[in-house]
Amino acid sequence: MDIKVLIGTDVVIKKIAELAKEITASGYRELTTITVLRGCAMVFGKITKRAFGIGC
Amino acid sequence: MGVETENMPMRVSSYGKDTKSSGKIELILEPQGNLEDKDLLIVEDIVDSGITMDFLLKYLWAKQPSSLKVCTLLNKPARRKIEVNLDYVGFEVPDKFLIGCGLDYQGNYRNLPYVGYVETAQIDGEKGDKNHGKS
Repeated sequence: MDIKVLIGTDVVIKKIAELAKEITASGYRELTTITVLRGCAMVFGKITKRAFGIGC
Repeated sequence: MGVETENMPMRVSSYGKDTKSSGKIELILEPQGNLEDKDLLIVEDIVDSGITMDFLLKYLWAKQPSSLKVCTLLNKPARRKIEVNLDYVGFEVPDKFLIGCGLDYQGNYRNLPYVGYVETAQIDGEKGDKNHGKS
């Protein structure tokens, strides 16, 4: 298939870092994250790794 | 960062391998553990029709959490059938068939590190629907 890029890798990584920063700034002391397998688990891993140091 | 976190995976099926939404959500894997009085954050790859997210929000609010918020990397408002509140949004995206960053086409391309798209005319044998096979 001819795959065209809509949002480049660098832009995705930067945005995930911004989301992670925004979430941590929300003032949570404890947080339970809910991921819906399978696709969003990949997004979860990237966000939570940047925000909380866990994930992939 | 000083935030204790716990992840609870869920699994729902809305339309399997087909690209057309049935509009019905089936809960395949429930979150394991007590959610009462907890701060919950749903982390999604994409919100398009809102049907799955509406199901998740209703299901999780019934567990009586202290708070419930939604983070999604991608938001496709052109496909919205049910309005849902999104607290953390990465990108608003156009009504294209997207792949990568967890989004698949028949189980493939999830691992692409970028968000890509294909013209629906390329999707062999399909009817051109731009939904994603949530599985």
